[in-house]
Amino acid sequence: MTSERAPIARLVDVVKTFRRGSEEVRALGGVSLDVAPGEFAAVVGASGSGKTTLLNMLGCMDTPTGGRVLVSGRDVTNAGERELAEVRKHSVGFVFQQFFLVPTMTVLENARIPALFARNPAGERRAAELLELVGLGRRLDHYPGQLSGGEMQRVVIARALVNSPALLLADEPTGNLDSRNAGGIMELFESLHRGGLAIVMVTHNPDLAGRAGRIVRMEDGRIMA
Amino acid sequence: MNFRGLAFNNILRSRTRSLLTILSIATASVTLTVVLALDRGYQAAVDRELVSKSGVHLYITKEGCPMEAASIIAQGGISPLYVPASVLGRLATVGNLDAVLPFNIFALTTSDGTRTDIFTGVTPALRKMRPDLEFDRGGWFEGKDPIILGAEMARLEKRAVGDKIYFEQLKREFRVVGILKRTYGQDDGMFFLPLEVSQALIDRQGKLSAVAIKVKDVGKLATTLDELRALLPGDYYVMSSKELGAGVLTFFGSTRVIMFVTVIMTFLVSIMGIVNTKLMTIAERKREFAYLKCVGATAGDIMRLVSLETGLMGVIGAAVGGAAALVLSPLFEGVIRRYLVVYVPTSRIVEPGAAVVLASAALVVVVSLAASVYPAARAARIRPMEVLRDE
Repeated sequence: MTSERAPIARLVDVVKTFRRGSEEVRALGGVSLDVAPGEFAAVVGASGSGKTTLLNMLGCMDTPTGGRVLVSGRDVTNAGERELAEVRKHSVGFVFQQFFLVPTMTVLENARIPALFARNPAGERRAAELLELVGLGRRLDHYPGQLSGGEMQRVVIARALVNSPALLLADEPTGNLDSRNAGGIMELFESLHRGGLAIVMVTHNPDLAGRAGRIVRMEDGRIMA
Repeated sequence: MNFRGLAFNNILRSRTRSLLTILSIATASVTLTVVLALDRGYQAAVDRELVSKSGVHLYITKEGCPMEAASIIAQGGISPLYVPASVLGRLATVGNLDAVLPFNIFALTTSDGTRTDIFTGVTPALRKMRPDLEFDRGGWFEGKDPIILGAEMARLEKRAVGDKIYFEQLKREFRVVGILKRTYGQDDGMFFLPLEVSQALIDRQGKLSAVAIKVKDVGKLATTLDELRALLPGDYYVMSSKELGAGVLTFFGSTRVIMFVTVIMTFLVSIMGIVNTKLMTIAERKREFAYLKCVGATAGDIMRLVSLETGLMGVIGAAVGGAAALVLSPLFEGVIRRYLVVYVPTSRIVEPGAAVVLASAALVVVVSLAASVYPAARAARIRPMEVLRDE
């Protein structure tokens, strides 16, 4: 599962265990995975198979119990909170099932929030460009309450890309959408992928997974294929 | 859009909750502003009326509780203590006395209880004691049943020189011979009568409430004070106007303690309200904060955001509270005057100036920010992976 090009994110024999009461749960049992630049991978598997934990590791949202995690060539296995925040800020974009849009802020303001934390003065211009790219160029001044679910998820995608990350992590990005809007989001992902963006998407939907360039199947905390 | 804009938007998301929090902060702000204004205003008014503008350097009263006498001297009422007029003869030997004013003061409430009139019996020595007292119309006592009105009393009674004025408490009618110019002091609210007339009205012939003294050389005030104390029998009390003012303020001290305890309690309630509201908000927005961490917010950014949200509410609450204190201060003054048990100056005692309003606002904002520390720290500890939990 390696690529000839230097991977954007790399998991090397990553183990993650945690306690649930008196029981020790092994969420990841020695997982190795390389995400190459421009790659579009879909992670599939049953509930509890470790998909979300895998995404946590790639997104520097959690630290492993064992093994190594490298993002953008940087070993973040034992990184502190501040260093992990830096990596998340500049290297990774996140899209989740829930939108987390601020209802009292316009579409443009919502999309530029990550730029605020990155102290990126060009954030507003970049956010406007991305919103144009995702088809919301005419709705910059609208509020989330005036948008459909599919449009809100497009705002979320624009927001995830405002700091120009090389890797987009998506956890069930179409989980709250009807099939028409879900199809639209997938087309957008494919378009972004063609533009060179690496995408790792967790999904339960085999049709959507089939549209990714690579499928990573997980079972009991291990990658099966 | 910056941190302040984001914080302001977050406040707008829970309008009712934010409004209630702001109102609680504003209440603390009003309380603090009014109490500070009263504290400063009362001290200034006491100094103005009893020390700086009274024209009196020394008072002679009968020993007892001098502060009770002070209160009575200044506010009226019929004191059980009195100074026999015969004391005046003893003062002739003291050299540094410029003016000696024996006076009799008492207060009577109207039968419907709506007003208390203060009557002061004085001699012509008042004019030497208080050269600043000028007549707006008319002049000094002359003819039958004369009375002089303070400016405010003339306005309230709608009386002019030559008019008759009847007091049902005394069952007596007087003729207005003079109306004083407004002094913005206690004189404005008084009725002045000839000393003997006032003594007769309350059956205190030959008895004085006190004797007020103005000295020639203020530099020798301490010597004169000692001389008078040595001259008069031990059951007389001689005190300077400064001591009188200080004594009144000592009396006011207990009221002050109660006021500041009230402020502290109001602040505690407000702080608990802020902490509770912010903790609830953070619990509800846990995954949102986790998401913000996903997009690069550090623990410091989250702390800053939550503190800004609270700080902004503090600023709005302080502004609302300060404005309300300014607008409502006359109302508060009326209530405080009604229930204040110590000497109540006639001039304004609740006067929230710019310094008081700004100091109060600054303290309210600082306290609001302090109240946000614990909720902000809780929010900052939220881990980014919480965003995916239960999805």
